[in-house]
Amino acid sequence: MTPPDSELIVRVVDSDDRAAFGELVTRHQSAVRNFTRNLTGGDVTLADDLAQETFIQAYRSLSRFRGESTFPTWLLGIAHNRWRNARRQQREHVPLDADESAQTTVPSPAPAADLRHDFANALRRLSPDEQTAVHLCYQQGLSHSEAATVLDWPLGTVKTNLARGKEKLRQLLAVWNPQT
Amino acid sequence: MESANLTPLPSDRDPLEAWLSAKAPVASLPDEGFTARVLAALPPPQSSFSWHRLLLYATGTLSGLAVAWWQRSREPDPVSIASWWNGVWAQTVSLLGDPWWSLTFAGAIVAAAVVFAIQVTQASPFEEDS
Repeated sequence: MTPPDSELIVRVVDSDDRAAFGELVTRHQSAVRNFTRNLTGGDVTLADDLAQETFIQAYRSLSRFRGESTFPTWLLGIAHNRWRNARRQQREHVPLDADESAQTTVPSPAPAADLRHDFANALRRLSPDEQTAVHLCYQQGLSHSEAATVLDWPLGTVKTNLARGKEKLRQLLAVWNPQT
Repeated sequence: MESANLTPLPSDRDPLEAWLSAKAPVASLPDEGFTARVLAALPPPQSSFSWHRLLLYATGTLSGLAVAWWQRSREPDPVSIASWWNGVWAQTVSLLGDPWWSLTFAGAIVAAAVVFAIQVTQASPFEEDS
C-alpha cells in the first residue's frame, strides 16, 4: 500500500528520511515540471532547473508545511514564486517587451489536423496570466481557489483571466466547432 | 487534411468547456532521472553535533569558571546577596509604578513581538529567499 503524502512528510520532517522525500518528488515531479514548462513557455532546461529549485526549497521548508492547502498546491505555489524571482532577475538583463513579443508572435502553423496540437498553439496566443490560469484550472485540474492560492492572486483575478483565456480559445478554435 | 485522432468539439453543451475538462489535462512526464538529481542536490544531512552549540556551552562554562576563580578568596555571604536582590526588585517595582516607564516597557515588548512576527513571515516558503 502506498503511504499518503502526509505520512511521507512526517517521515522527512521527523527523521530526515530522504527515501520518503524521493517518493514525494517522484509522485509530484510531473505536475511541477509541467507547470514550470508552462510558465517558461516551453523552455525545458529552465523549467527543470526551476522545478529542481522548487523541490529543494520544499525540502528546506517542509517543517513549516501546515497542510492548509494540499501538498501539490503548496509545491506549485513555491514553483510560481521561484519563477517570479527568476523572471525578475531576467528582466534586469533582457527587456521584457522583446521577450513577450517573441512569445506572442509564435505563429500558428499551417492548418493542423489535430485539435490537441491546435489547442497547444492557441494556448501560446494567450497572455501569460491567461495561459497560467487555463493551465492550472484545466490542465492541472485545480479549483479556482487552489489556483488563487498557488498564484497569490485574488479569486476574482483567476476567474477573470480564465474567462478571458477561454473566450480567446473559443475564437482561436472556432474552426473545430462551426456551430458556435 | 485530418488525422485519425481528430476529435471535434462536442456541441451539446459549452463545447470548449467540455473539451477542456476531458482532453486538456497534461500528460504525465516521465521522471528521466529528475528525482535522482533533486536528491543529489539536497543539502547534506544535518549532524546532531553542532559547533555553534559547543562553542556557546564552552564559552559559558569558561566564563563561569573564570568568575569562580576570581571570587575564590571571598566568603559567600547569603545575606548580602539577598539584600542586593531585594534592592533590585524594589527598584524595578518602583520604575514600573511610573506610567512612562510602564508604557516604555510595554512598547518594547510590542516592538519585539512585531520584529519576531516579521521574521516568521519572511521565513515563509512562498517568499523568495535571498
